[in-house]
Amino acid sequence: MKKISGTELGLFTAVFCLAGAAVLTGRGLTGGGVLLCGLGLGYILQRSRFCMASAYTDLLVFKDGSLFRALLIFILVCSVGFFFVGLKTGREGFVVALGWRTVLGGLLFGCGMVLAGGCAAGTIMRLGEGYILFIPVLIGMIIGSVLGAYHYSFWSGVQHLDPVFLPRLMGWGAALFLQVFILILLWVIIKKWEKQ
Amino acid sequence: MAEFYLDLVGYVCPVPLMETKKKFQELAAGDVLVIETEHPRAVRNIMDWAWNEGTDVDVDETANGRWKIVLKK
Repeated sequence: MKKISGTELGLFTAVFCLAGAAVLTGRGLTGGGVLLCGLGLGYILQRSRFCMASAYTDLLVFKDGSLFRALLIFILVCSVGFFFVGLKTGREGFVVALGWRTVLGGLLFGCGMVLAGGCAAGTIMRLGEGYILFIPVLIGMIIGSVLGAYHYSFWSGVQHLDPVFLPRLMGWGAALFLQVFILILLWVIIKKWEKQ
Repeated sequence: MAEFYLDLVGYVCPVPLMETKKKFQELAAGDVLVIETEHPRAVRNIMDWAWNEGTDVDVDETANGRWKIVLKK
């Protein structure tokens, strides 16, 4: 039997997703665009070797902020994009209030992400590359997500502050300005800290 | 002019670069360190670190998703 090359497999996946998107759109369903976005984002994630877990470990362990600064640019692009979406549609983001549960969840997820070697998107991307090490990681991720979903009503009732959505407080323009300013400030601080 | 070998297959970030740095310190001038890894981000990590240090680095993809990195002290 002839061995299938990576390029052939990639082309097959792309055609499969395109056909799937066409079928979904043809039937008036909304999943088609999401499927194509997923395909594109996955491709970028794999090609750029972008890694959310490394962004933090590189910065804190090796004092190399290149990926973390890329993460800041990523949030900046998202903010500008969402600014236009929000301005046009008036839709608000899904904002969850801050509380000790957020800190606890962040710590848990962060530890798991660094120990496993990838965040959720990174795990799926590496699994797609054929990286067998990430099969147990995916199984752990599924177990964790199921447990999380099961407990969700408890956590949403836990003591927390009021949710803050900047555009509602100060309008879309000012909110974007503040967010971009803070992101650029962080970028500069990290760049300076790296050089020390 | 000794050659050292570091097998980092099965390790994820940040272990490969930490082990590489540790091993590289023990090397004498002129020694060569050969590293094998299958973690793509680790390849990038080690390359960036070597460039910053001004170390000679050579990367070769020996098989799909498997890299051999040669560092020269």
